[in-house]
Amino acid sequence: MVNNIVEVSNVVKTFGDVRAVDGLSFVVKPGEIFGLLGPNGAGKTTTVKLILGLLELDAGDITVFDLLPSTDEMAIKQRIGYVSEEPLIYKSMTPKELFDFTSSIRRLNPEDTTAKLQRYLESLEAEQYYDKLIATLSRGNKQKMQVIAALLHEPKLLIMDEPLTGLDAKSAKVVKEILELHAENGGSVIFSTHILEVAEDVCDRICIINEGKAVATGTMDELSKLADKAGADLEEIFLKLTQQDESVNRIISNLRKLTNNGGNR
Amino acid sequence: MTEAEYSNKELYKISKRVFTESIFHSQQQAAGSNKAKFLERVGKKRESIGTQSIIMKILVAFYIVVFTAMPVLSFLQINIVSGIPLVEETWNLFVGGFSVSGYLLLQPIILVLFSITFTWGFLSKEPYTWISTLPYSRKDVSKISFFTFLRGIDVQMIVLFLALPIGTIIGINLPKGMGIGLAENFLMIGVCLIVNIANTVFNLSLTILLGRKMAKVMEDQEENNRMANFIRIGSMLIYLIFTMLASFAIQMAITKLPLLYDPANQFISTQSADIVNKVLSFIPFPFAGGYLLTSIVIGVTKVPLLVVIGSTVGTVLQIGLAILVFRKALQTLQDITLIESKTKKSRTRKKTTPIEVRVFKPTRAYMKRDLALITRELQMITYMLMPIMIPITTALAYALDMYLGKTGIPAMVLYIMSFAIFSTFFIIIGITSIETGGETITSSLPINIRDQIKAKMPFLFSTVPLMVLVAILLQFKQAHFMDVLLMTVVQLPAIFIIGMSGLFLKILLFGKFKYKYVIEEVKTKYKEIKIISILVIMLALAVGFIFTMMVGWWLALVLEGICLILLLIIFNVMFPKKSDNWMTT
Ligand SMILES: Nc1ncnc2c1ncn2[C@@H]1O[C@H](COP(=O)(O)OP(=O)(O)OP(=O)(O)O)[C@@H](O)[C@H]1O
Ligand SMILES: [Mg+2]
Repeated sequence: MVNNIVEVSNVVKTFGDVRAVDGLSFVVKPGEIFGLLGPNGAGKTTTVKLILGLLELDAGDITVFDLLPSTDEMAIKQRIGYVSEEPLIYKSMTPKELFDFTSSIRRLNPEDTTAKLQRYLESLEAEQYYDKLIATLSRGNKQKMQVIAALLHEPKLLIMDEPLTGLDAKSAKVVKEILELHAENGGSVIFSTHILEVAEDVCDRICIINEGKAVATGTMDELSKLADKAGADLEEIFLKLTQQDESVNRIISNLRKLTNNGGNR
Repeated sequence: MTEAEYSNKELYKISKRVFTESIFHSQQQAAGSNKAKFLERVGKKRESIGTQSIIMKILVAFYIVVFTAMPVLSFLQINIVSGIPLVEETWNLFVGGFSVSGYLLLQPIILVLFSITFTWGFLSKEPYTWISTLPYSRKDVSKISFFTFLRGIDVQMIVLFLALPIGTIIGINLPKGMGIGLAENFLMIGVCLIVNIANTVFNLSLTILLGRKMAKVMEDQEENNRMANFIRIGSMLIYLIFTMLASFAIQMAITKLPLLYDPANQFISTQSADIVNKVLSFIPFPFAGGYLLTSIVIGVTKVPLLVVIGSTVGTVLQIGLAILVFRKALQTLQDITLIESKTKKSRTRKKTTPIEVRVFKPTRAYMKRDLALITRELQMITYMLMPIMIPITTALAYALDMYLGKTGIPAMVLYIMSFAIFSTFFIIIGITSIETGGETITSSLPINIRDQIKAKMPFLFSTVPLMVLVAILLQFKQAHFMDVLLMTVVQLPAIFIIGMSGLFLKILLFGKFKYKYVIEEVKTKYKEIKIISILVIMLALAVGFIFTMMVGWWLALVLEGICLILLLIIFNVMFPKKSDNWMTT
């Protein structure tokens, strides 16, 4: 039996009196793209940071490659590629300097890495930004650089926090392709997003999170059954599972009223 | 035009908004990649946007007023010595002409150096783009840009206009009681005003032209990021150095200038002085004005006719020159508000850098990254340049004869040390705050904090010891040079010890996790208290070391040895050598 890549069990993380993650459990298996889906503030980013060991757990357990993030941080990070929510890479460096830096810290082989970098820059059409200050790049191009930096060391596990934000359709397609290829080759992906279509499109299994708790976990089919609405589209399921359907209806009707009033004037 | 015209008053009011926007813009640019932190600070305290510009204004005004001491003292002196029969008018004219011209020359230098770092914000297109999209006519927008600039330099301008005339009245009236004729006073004020207006208009226009040049470079940052960095570094350096030099100049002016009028101190022959006077008086800027004013103070009948004619012609030329430059500046202000497509940019050739990854040893990689980040951020540069203050202020302290005699030596060393500790402290704050800028990318890397800290050593301990040595070596002519040198060299290891202690403390207080330490500030509670206590501890250590040194320098060396061993142990406990087992996977 192949071990799970990531095991999260009954994890709790609080910030003051905010329970950002509240008894969350899930596993990520080899070769799958695992989606963390939830509305804004659900606790996706916090979960991801816990897995990376960037935050300390309040309660529960996390193992990554059977190692503990708190103590085996180095070994874990060497095998993870992380794309953070905000493209918070050094803005006063150029991508060139950034890639030199990350490759040096990871002690990669320069020839192989150069070949990989050329391929990635080409496929994401970002070559011309290679020597520009990151601060001057557009959001999407920053994001591309961050994605490439996370891929160069061929990590077994990719953790991507909303990686498609800011990317144009074509680049988004390329990144999705990269992720699928990565999974086909036996790698795993944790993919956090608040957009249903994206999760539906990219992920093999999805964990829907709301207010720090796992509402439901499973493949698209399993989720549909769970929602008691077989055959319905994921949007309804998602809204129902996160108990947002009623409030959404209320908001929409309010909006309608507003625009109608505006039109009458 | 059919659209409703706005009155100047209305436009002036509107320019307030643009003014704030410009300051915000330039500060944001200056913050470089510290932008996020800057925005956070501004978000908390909106008023802080304006504060910097007010400080700048006051500073410039202050310098101008202080420098006015030069012509004022000169006039005072001329009036005092002119009663003495032996005194040579040619020599007086020479010294007076130079000191007043020097003042006139300093005006644009102060204005340009100090204003440019922040006026270029008004001179870049950014703040006007939005205003241009609103229903204002082209003319209105140009006017707004003019008013905005005016808002930026209002205080400086008023001070420039008034300082010299007021100073002159004081300078010529004080020695004679108030017994001087009204007509003479009026003539003096009149000439002062003319010279001054021509000069001020010239200076301000120059500021606009140069400021616009600078703004252009900053706008094209993408293409020219080297140049933009250069400007950042340069302006910071100028700022620091000029502040110091200004203090020196004032010192000199006050102590040495009156002495120069003493014929015994005449250093060139009267004949040469005469020729120099006649030639220079024709040169419009800055000499004509200076010679004209001095001639009047000495008495038009007492100076050669050629100098009077020369300086008058020169002043007229200066007025013409001022008008010319002013026109050019107005045109520049108008052009700023033109929104043009950025087609011109394509002229810069596309030089493609070959894509190639270079891999370095981790410590080296951190160093390269730190260097890149430090040199591209104004704040970081300021921190790194702090040590320059050490030799400059030390020299100043010597010049002021603060430490005379043998008892003064420990005080001198204490003085140098405390500056060294202050600079080290700021560098610690600077190099540790680098780590937060790229939070996520570093946090996902298998970072070894040991390498990270090693990489920071050169930044911590290069400029400070170097500048301390420079400070000492500059004093080689002093009687107690060898004593001070010896003491300082004995103190150098102490700087290292204190610096390391500060760094470790910073990490201990701000970056302690359950199982590890990080350089980033993760525990930000009680931030101010923690920072202050770090500084206090560092200073206390410095005082301790100096105290032991006064007991005996051998004792200081022994203590330093013990401390170094202790530090090494702490270093290994806090940042243990990690096994490289993760590499085998
Ligand atoms: N450093 C922090 N301090 C205090 N509260 C925090 C902190 N980080 C996150 N939180 C809180 O924890 C909760 C979960 O935040 P998190 O960033 O994990 O949400 P998310 O699911 O990633 O949302 P989004 O879709 O907007 O990215 C939120 O209520 C947030 O306000
Ligand atoms: Mg998030």
